Amino acid sequence: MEKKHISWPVWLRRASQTGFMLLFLYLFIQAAYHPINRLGGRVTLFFDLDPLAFFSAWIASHQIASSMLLALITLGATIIFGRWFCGWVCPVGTLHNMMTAWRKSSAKARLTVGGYTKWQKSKYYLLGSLLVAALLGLNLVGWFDPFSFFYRSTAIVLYPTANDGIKSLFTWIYQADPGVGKARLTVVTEPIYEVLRRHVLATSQPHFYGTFLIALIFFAILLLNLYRARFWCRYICPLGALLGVAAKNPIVRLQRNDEICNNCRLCVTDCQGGANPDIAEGWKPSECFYCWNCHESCPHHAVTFRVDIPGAKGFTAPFQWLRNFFRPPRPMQLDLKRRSLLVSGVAGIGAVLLVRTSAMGEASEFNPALIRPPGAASEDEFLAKCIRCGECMKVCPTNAIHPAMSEGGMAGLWTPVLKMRIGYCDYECTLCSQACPTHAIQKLIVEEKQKVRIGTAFFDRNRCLPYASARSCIVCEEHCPTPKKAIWFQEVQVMTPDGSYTTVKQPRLNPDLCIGCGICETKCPISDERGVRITSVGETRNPKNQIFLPDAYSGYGSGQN
Amino acid sequence: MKDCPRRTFLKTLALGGAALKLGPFAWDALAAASGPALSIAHYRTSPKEPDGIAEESQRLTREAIAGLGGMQRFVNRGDIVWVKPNIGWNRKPEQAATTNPDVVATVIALCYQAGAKHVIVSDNPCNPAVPSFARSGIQEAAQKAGADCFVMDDRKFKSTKLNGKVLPAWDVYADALGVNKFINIPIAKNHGLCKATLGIKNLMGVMGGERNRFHQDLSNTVVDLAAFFRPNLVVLDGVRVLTANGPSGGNLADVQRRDTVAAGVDQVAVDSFGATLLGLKPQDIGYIVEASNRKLGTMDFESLKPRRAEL
Repeated sequence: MEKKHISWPVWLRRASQTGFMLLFLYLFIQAAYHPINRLGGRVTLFFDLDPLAFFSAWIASHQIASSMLLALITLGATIIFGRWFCGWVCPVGTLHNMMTAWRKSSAKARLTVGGYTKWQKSKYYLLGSLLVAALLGLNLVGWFDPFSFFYRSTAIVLYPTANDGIKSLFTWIYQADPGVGKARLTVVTEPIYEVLRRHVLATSQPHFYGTFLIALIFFAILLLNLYRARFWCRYICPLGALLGVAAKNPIVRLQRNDEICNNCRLCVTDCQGGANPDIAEGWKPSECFYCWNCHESCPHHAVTFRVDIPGAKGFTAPFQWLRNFFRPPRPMQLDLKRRSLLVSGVAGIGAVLLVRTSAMGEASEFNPALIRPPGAASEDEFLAKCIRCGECMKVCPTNAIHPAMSEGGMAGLWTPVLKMRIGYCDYECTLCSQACPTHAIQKLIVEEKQKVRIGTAFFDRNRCLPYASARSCIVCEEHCPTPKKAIWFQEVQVMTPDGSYTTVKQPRLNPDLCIGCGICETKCPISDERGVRITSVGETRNPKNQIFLPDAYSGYGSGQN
Repeated sequence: MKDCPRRTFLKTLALGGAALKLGPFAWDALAAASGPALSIAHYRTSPKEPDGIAEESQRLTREAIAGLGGMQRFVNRGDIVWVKPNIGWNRKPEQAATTNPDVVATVIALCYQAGAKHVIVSDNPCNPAVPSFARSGIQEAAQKAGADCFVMDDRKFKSTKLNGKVLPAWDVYADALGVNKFINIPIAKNHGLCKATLGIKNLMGVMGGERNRFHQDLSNTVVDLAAFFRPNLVVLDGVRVLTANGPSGGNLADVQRRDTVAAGVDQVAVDSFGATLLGLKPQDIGYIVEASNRKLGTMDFESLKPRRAEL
């Protein structure tokens, strides 16, 4: 077979896609501890460029992080030039692109699936539902936002598994130490591993709750590319839908030379977005990613892209463009049905009502396991802003932050919760608040964070060793990080099994000092269910979820009750 | 560690023919003769933070080691040296929960001056490792001094026979064993359970596994480590000490200046002296008593006639 000539726009697109994918991965790796208590570079860049995250957080919480104003550039560029972002920038699109390229099917088969189908409108209805829900204060965009989807899947599934795989390989070589004579393979592999360990891999293997569901969804969505090219981008992606609405009337348009075109329809076989390059007057700018595959597939290059404002003459062109934007010429590109839009809006309202009235949502306000990172806003505001991206989970140096399953009710799925069985909130660290792109976790300086209580420690005297087993331990007190330790101990004489007495130090908690960081729980030597555990009660962000009278801080009362 | 100084010294004597007459029973006497077992350097004034303290720490460290006969007594040309400071916590140097970085850097510089080929500095902290290495200031100071200082590689904890009283075997960091010399650089500070963290307790930092179980019999477990490791040199940082809410600390009001660095070959004697910096008696601290009972060193450090330098 003759090697196919590939034209420069396609090469340029591929280079751009590769570059942004590498940038995404680089920023992902940089989302880690850099001295001292800093993240390495602008790790929220892709979320800052995301107008969907911008609008959903804005209309749900009526606040916006100034860094996210970058999203307006994406939006503005799309209004003027079209959905280049999806085809040239978005790393999630690139990922689906790669999967699509894997698909081996005949041009004839692709002819039938390459064109536009009306199901592509589903993403606009999904966007409608999400925005209506956001308007009512519930931000569910994170379930579907492409960057949230990809970042979360990478942080929770891909990076931990890649980390484990690479480490296992090098460990296996390190332990087996294969070689010929005095030449050892480890002489080559160990220096490579050392570089990876210092710059790429996690310093300790991350583990997350809820990996399975996130992995299942991620790989299912990848496999859908085998059914339709860029299935996610065509049918689901609400960011794509938002950009599609913006790209109603771009100035860069598909041009077909009808004198050369023989209607072979090869141009549609590799169309990524299902934008109908093959139908006269049927090209849909809202679905087009400007991948140039149509130009590439055409044996005569009868299709190409050019700057063009239909109906414009001379200096009136900008006015004509504006007029086209608000009253687009036929064919109507989006063609959304009023009735379907109404249904999607009602679905959004319904979702909010369901979430509000379910017992799970109600109970989550006092769920002992709903421990949010320090700086997390009150639950309502938190759910209005959190886009479930998993940045906080990636950056946490102790692996304390996990995607919630049921802790926060249905509405809280994949929002961050702390699992002190695995990790704890380090006293001197504020990385999660720095990493949060929407300020659902408010920016805190260390001194502020050290005053935020995220829960309270409780001793389980049936398990705690000095109580239950007459053994000394007090690891919790050793690790307690508050300047005056919240965990103190009382020396108590206890009987041992042989009837003799021994003195042990029994831990006690000073609830006025405890901030619920959970290092006591993480470090407790009872490996399965700890002898000291944190629950959310006492958390600063929820005035209802408290234990003591407001004036309890003045002391331990008069005892005159 | 195999190439211990007393053996080197003995070899020198053997060359002179004298050892033939002394025989093996005189080893301890010979070791004592090779230099003092304990040296204490103290500043009369407390220079102001932060500028004065760096120079003070460097001078005290140099003086304390000079009092033992200099680093060349411990480090030979071509040696690979493991330096074990306390980087246990994500704390700043002035909070005195971690070893003073200037003390660490000075020891590294002295090792290189004595001809060391390579100096490795590491620890297995209680707090997350990367932040602790950074905030303690030790990573930066050690790297500037030419040492390799990075967080431990968790593949390298290997179950190792300790033949201890309570620890028959435990995970030990393999690279810390494959070196020629081991120098322990603890900081003196308060500890809730055992009253003081000093040199012997600091050895926990080359251990892996579920270390939190050590607390159930802390005295015996850490003395098992002391018996196993037998550091060639212990340099105790007593420039700032943490007197309460240890070992993690965090409250500057609990930090006091002692302006002292002690160095010694007898780890029990160094810790016994360290206890006095915290206002304790060596007898108050379980692991010092246990180490003394096991004849790992001398609790009555004054009987060693420590070399004292007042600066």
